[in-house]
Amino acid sequence: MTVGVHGRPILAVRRRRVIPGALVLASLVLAAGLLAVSFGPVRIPIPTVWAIILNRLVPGLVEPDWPPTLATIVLDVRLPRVILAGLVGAALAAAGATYQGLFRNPLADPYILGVASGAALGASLAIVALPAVPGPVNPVPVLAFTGAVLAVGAVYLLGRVDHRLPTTTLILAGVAVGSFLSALNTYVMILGGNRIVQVIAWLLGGFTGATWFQVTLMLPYLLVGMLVLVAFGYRLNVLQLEDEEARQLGVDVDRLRLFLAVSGALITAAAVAVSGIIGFVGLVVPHLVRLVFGPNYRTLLPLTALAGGGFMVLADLAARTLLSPVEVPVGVVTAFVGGPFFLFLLQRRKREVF
Amino acid sequence: MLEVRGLRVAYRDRVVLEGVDLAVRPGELVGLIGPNAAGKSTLLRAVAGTVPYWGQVLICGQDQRRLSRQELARLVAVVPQTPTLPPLFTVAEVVMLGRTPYLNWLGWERPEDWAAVDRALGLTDLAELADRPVGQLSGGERQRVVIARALAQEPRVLLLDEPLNNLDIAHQVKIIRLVRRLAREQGLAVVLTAHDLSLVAQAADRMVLLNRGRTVAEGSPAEVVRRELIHQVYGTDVAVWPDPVTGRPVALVRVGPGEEAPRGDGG
Amino acid sequence: MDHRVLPFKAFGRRVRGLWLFLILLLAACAPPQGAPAPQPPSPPALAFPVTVTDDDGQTVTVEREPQRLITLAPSNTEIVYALGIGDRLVAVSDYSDYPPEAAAKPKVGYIRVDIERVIAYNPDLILATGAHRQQVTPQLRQRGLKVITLDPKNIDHVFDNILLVGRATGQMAAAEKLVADLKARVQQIEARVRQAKTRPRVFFELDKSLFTVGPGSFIHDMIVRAGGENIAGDADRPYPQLSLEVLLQRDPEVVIITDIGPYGGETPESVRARPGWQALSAVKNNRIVPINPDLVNRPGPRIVDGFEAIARAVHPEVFN
Repeated sequence: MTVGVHGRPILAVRRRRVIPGALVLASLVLAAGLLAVSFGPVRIPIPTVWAIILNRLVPGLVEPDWPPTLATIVLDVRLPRVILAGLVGAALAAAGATYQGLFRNPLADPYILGVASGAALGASLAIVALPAVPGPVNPVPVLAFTGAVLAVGAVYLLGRVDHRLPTTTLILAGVAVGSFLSALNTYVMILGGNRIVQVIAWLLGGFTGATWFQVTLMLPYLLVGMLVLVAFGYRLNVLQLEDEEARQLGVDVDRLRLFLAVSGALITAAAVAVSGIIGFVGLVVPHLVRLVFGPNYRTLLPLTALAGGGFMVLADLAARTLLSPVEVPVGVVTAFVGGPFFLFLLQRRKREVF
Repeated sequence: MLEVRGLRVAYRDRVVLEGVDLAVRPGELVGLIGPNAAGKSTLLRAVAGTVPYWGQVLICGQDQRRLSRQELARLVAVVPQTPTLPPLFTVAEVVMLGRTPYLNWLGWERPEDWAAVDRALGLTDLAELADRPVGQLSGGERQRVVIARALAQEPRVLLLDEPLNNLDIAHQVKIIRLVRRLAREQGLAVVLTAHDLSLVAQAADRMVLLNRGRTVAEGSPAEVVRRELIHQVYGTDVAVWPDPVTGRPVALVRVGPGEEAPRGDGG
Repeated sequence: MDHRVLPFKAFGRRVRGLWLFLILLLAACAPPQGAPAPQPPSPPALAFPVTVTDDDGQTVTVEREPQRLITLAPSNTEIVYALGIGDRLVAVSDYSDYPPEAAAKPKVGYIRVDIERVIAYNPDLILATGAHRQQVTPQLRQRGLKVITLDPKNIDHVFDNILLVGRATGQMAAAEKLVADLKARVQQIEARVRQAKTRPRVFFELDKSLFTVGPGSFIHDMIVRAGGENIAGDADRPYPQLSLEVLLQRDPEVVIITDIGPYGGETPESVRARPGWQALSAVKNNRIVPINPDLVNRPGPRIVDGFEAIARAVHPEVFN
């Protein structure tokens, strides 16, 4: 314990008190996950749900007295769906927080560098133009991911000025490439005739067809990307300063910016590839977390990922139960719930958010 | 500690600094004066490694070009003219940014980082404000936060670019006293730029007068703040007297009748 | 509706292909030259002018027997050909590919219609659909063109539409014979279905994101008439998206897939291989049936083929 000049220990008040709040948040997210596994459009008694899961974890622990269909629903439909929603929510929220910090812009979201339009174009081309190939490899997520990465690459090349990466040109390049690709995408959709329905279904986003395969596809990108972003949260704080100040603090601003932009783009692309384009989570969740826990990116990034995962799990729960047996696109739920909630918090706090 | 030899900085074909030499010893406070666009800020930026230059900059005897950005930031800290202070960050969080050059790639703060932040807050008398968002602070407090951030870098050379701007006289005195004390007690080599000749002359050990990218005069305050030199560089008439208490020069700017046309009814 | 609509196939050359397509499109936008000379009128001219009321509730008076027809949907093209006057079509909608000779006709768009080109063909009757109600039809009518809207809601309505087109084009005899044949086939199918002792649960898959049909859709109507029980029969809209959980719980005994062919790529094998689907009765009993989507999506004469395909899928036992 260090003692300040006035003899008062000041280390204790130094750190924002985030640990208790973070524990509360983590419990809420866990509760959301348990809730989402317990409920669904098909009513299964909650003890049965957990007996099914326990029986899978420790075979023979519980005597199976349920029809095999229920086990399929819990283990092959609900569980991967809840986990995928959590992963995608975490990825989008963390990427959104990263871009907001990177561009010092409260309106930034995971799609600011053209990831969404690139992925959309890739997916549309796959749906409209590619003959389906038999086998487990679905070309849609593959081309969506490729499109997203290519779009960000184009934004990088266009936004670069003399080996520097100024935020303004980067954002402008993102907007320009995004609009261009959206126009191309619209054109492809028109050419696609009635396959336009499949394209729109993909664009709306959701976790309808979530499988364990998608979870394993997504997991490595997400884990690596999240680790990088959480580890670099501290440096994001430095990027809140002017470039020159950040350089004077020993930071290679352009390399750091590139590194963070690419990491954010990769996890966004991975998320979009498995779930389509789900709006609002990446924009609003970082602001919500910032309102509660303060703007320090060191704590903001991991907490945002946590909150984003929980938010998406709940949104998807609503998406599949509200109008059962019919599904609501999860993007509709996120916008419908997230927008008013955000405005409510903003009004209550009556202060700067960013 | 800090040695600048034959420094030349040019943006495209516009020469900003030409043949500037400067040496600052540990514990020494050097006041850098000169008219607008004399090259004062550029000199500081060259030392801090944020503009390319010809010539040589030695820091603690090492060629500045051979230092990595991180190594340089551990030796040289800058208090910029217009610092950015993210308004929702607390004082402690902003000061912790000064520890950036010491953090490993994960960026986890170690106890010695917190200790350095504590010391910097103590030296700048900010301990009470550690948890306040910087957006709520007054101008003088904000200036101290930026100085504390620079101190958290535990530098050997401290460069302050017009740290007295926009402060009332009480805060000006507070800041310049703090800077002088830091030089003395921490053994820092300090370079400070300012427009108030008398104030700098009161505090600085030595002064350097720059004009159009060249050193015009260098020496004790009494050697630099002289009527004919000031007139020659600024084109402005000043009266210079020695302060009866300290003996340091005091410059009084004379506005005079100037170019204004005399009024008809005379004065 | 149609699934083979691609102007370019090689994905690797997609950019060049796109440009090529753009250029072709521009070229195609030029007004059609050398409009063919008017054909000789059909010998037994019926009593023209005739006045009909279309599915928009519009009363349309056709002064003399139309010789220059344009269709704005593949189903309308099929109706015209079935009445034996396909040669009077000066242009057809995109995706009009049945009968095969329709594919060679000039195209004027489908949901989005190139109004200029339609006008340039100087048609004396245009057959539109409900999808054109908001934008296309008013624009055409403002320019003095005769438009008849066909917007059928069920099979019997399709028959009414065929008679309507027959009246408006002076082909009443052909239309009456065609409708009588089609109705007879529907009665035969329904008679067979009545022999069935079960009412199997049916899942009709539009695509693999589990979009399906609900009440208010053409296909739901046909499933019910074919003696099946649509598992999405309680949905609140014609084209709902079903939860996989609900699908597994409702355990369809028959799964009909339509997203087949080179681009959809669904096959009974691919459905069987989906995670979790092995538990379904339809999978266990090998009752996954692909149906050509054009038969069930196009409200033209072939809708009866589609009805028969659905009935055979639901009750194969009564057709053997």
